[in-house]
Amino acid sequence: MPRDKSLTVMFLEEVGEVVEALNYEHKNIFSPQITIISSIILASAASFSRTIFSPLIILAVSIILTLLLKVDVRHWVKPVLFALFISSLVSIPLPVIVQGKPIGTIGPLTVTYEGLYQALQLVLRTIAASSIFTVLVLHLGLRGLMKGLRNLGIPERLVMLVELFVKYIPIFLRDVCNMIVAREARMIVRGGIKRTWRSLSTIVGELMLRASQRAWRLEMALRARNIGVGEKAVRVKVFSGTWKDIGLMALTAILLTASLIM
Amino acid sequence: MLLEVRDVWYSYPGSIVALKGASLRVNKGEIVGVIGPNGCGKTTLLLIAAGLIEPKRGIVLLEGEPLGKQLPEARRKIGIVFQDPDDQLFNSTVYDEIAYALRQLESNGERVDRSVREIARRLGVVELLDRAPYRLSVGEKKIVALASILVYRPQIVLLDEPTSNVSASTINIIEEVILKLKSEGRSVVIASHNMEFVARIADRIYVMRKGKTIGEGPAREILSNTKLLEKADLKPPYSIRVAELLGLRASSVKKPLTLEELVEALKPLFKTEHHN
Ligand SMILES: Nc1ncnc2c1ncn2[C@@H]1O[C@H](COP(=O)(O)OP(=O)(O)O)[C@@H](O)[C@H]1O
Ligand SMILES: [Mg+2]
Repeated sequence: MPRDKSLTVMFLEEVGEVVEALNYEHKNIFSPQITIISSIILASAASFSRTIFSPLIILAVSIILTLLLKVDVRHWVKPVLFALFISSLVSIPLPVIVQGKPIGTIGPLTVTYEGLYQALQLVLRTIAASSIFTVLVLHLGLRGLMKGLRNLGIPERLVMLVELFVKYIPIFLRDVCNMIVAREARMIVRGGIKRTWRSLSTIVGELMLRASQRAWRLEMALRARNIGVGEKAVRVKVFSGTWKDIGLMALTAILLTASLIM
Repeated sequence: MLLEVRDVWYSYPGSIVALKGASLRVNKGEIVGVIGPNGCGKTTLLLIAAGLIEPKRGIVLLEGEPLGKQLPEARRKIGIVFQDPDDQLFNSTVYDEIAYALRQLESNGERVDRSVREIARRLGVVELLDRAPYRLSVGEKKIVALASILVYRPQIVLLDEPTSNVSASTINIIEEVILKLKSEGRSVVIASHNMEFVARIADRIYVMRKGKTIGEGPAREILSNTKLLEKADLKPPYSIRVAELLGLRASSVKKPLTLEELVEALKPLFKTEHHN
């Protein structure tokens, strides 16, 4: 009998799907290492800017890039919505706790212009950073990510760790979902959020055990099939010099400068 | 000798000793069975033979040289298919799963594509190529896991419980694939407690019990050695048991390993009865 998935299961499946999207093959337009460096610089520029303008610009650029690079919008939008949700939650109290020019009242609380501005800024910074980072990393894909890390001289063990991590999250979340579904199937009374939490808390111990066993075997499966390592020790130059790379670097430099001076 | 595991010992952290003196030798073009009850250490032995875990004692030799020294390059020569395909399938489509290892060797996408499609056709999973591996049936997952190893043509293929949880038709496909590998001069090791399956295809068999190798020999000899099998909590395949129950011991020169051989052995019996 078809039964609605619980909210928890749906959320976990979504998260797993986004990470899994990294596995998709894309033709990398930019050199992987420059993409990695750019995504880190741009995400930092967005997170640490003091105005709302540079996050706005970076957000706009990331949206344009999403369309230009043909990144699946559904995969891009999920982390951004998640960032929006979390940052909104965190910034809710800001308008009333920050001192400044009052622009209105909610009951006994005074909303200030500065507070509102700060809340907006926090939300914008968070979604701009996650947006630009998501689009570049999704475009890169896991394979490009690993290649870029290798080319940047990151030790092989750490690169493997990144791969294991990315491969493991969807599998782990699937395990969690399966266990929750199995628990819920045995719940005779239709459960609310309290019941779901209780079922979650009972699986934690078992989950930890399963997770470590699973991770151990997955690591072996990965190692068993990592047959190219050792031969591919060719170190590519960080900068490959195509005009597209120059374009991305110029864009990064402009946006960074903009967010520093604004 | 292609691969030799010599008297290895292994214990998992915080667990009892899993292997205490297990051995395995594999020649070129040979199908070797490793049989024994659950928990006797078959899987651990395969992991050691594949160079994925290191024995605490004993040694693994690939073509006469210590395997440890030849890693990671030697991984190309030894493929391992895990018992639970969920442990092994980690890509988002069947296509990527099969292409995973090849893509590390080959930057020519077309050549990767050709190999992937060829192996998919051989194993009958072409229509699954775009699907997500974790959404397949167990049998399909097992075939995909097998394809993801065979695609890079390892000389030795280690199969952990290839027939567990799969239907008869899938078992047939797996059997055909193994025999094909043998005909190409490649070697296959099968860890299993499916006696009928091992009887049908193994050339040589190792019997394990509590982490130790307690017997080794040609398949027919081992599988009709009821005493040895009993020690390992195993029973001979049905064909041999039927033959023994009927008292065919003296009448047939060789013990029937398969249904077909059993029928052959029974034929003279029916003839005499008919004439009387
Ligand atoms: N990952 C592990 N951690 C701890 N103990 C394990 C692990 N895997 C197997 N064992 C133990 O090692 C022994 C041998 O297991 P295994 O090699 O899986 O046997 P088989 O494949 O013949 O069933 C068993 O007692 C089992 O409980
Ligand atoms: Mg096993």
